[in-house]
Amino acid sequence: MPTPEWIEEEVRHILPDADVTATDLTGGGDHFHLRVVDTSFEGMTRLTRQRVILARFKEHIPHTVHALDIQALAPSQAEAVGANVFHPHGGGQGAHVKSIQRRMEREARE
Amino acid sequence: MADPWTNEWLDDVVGEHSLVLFMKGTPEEPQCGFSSRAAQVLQSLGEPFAAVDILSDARAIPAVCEWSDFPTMPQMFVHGELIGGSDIAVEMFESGELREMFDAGRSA
Repeated sequence: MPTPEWIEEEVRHILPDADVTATDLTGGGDHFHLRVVDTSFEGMTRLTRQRVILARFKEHIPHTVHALDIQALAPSQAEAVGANVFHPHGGGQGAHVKSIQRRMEREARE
Repeated sequence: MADPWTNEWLDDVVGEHSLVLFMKGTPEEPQCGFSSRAAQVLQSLGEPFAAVDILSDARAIPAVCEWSDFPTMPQMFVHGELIGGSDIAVEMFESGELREMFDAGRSA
């Protein structure tokens, strides 16, 4: 069963100096959130950054890694963006998007 | 229209609709939290979008993933361009980039 440590190690194979944090979202070893901060991401689109990471996991998706929610950031962005972990099965099938809810609440107030 | 799930058909789908979401289930009844989150992003954007249920046909997931060269679902397309999954969709929605990208393509 994949562990957060295994995920982090795999990322370090391709990005040795990255700041990597993997979180097992369900405790089941198949849904992970992954936060990666690396200088090489500077100037890359979000999609390109994900492709760099996903290429490493290609053979493991969708088995044994069912879901990999990725936050790939350049160091300059990492400070601005907090660690925002999304739980895919948080509220039954209704995914809950805290930040979107916050934004909508804010807009409703204004 | 080409046969469903061929590259030609998929090109047509993202060519004909400004916003396309390939997802597990439907926006009303999503079958996965990530698909649900992506659908909520588009609903929050408030623009019409096409949702393609990739659980409706066993051919769908391998065909879409091969065509887009992206291994996970959901996948969001804006003006024919893959932006990524629900993680990127949320980031782009919150930063305003999704709105910008949609508006820019609409006036072009």
